[in-house]
Amino acid sequence: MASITISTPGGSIINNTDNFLPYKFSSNQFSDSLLYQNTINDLRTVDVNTGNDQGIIINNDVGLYSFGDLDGMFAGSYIQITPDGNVALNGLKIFLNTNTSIEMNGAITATTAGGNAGLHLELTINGTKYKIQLLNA
Amino acid sequence: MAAISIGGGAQTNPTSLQFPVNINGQFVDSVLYTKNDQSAVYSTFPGLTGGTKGINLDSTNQEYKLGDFNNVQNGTSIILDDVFSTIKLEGLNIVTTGGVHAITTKFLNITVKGTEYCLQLLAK
Repeated sequence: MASITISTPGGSIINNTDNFLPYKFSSNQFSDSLLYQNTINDLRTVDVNTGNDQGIIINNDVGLYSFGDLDGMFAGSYIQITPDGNVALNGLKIFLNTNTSIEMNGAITATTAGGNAGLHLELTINGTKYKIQLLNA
Repeated sequence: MAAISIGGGAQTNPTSLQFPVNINGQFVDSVLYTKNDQSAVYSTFPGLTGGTKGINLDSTNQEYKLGDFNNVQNGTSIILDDVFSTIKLEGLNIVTTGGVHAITTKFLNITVKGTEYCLQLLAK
């Protein structure tokens, strides 16, 4: 892999803040983008007005991957993959539009718990575990 | 916070197609890559083998992925496939917040093509 040679006018100040990825702000200047690499395994976007993580977190130090309104500035809707192997959908409602289907792998059990036989999809809502009976398509 | 000043001829950001990041006043490789035709952006992490991980935004193949989508470690991921119009959730559990009816029998609210439906929730 070839290295990059960057030539800038003498004394120019570029990409001011540590740990931020740069983007071309003008013809001869790099500026801070929203992307921020906190450690060698942790990339995220930051709301520059609040300093909070907002948008995307890709943290391979602990195995946390998040996308959406992470700091609750708006409605607080976001998707999160957590280190314990959960996929978390945080929002008031789940919308399926057009002809979209959802494929879920894992979380399906054949169980008789609660007196319900057959295949069920397991869900955790606000910390409480439920199951939804699955019918043949 | 240190500003970066680069003199003429400085060698920085050693790896092709890898976005740079300002670390202590020097450009080094970040975990973020781009394809050379600008059709995809993805992340990889040092020391991991088995494929990309974290995020993969691929406009050519119309696939948008988050998490461990190549099953490098535990395989929990979300994959949006805009060719087949599918959303794929890979994980041990699906966890949601909100949307539960406050009536004796609980339902999960779900909106399909603009119409609201309820999925009956059974005790686990």
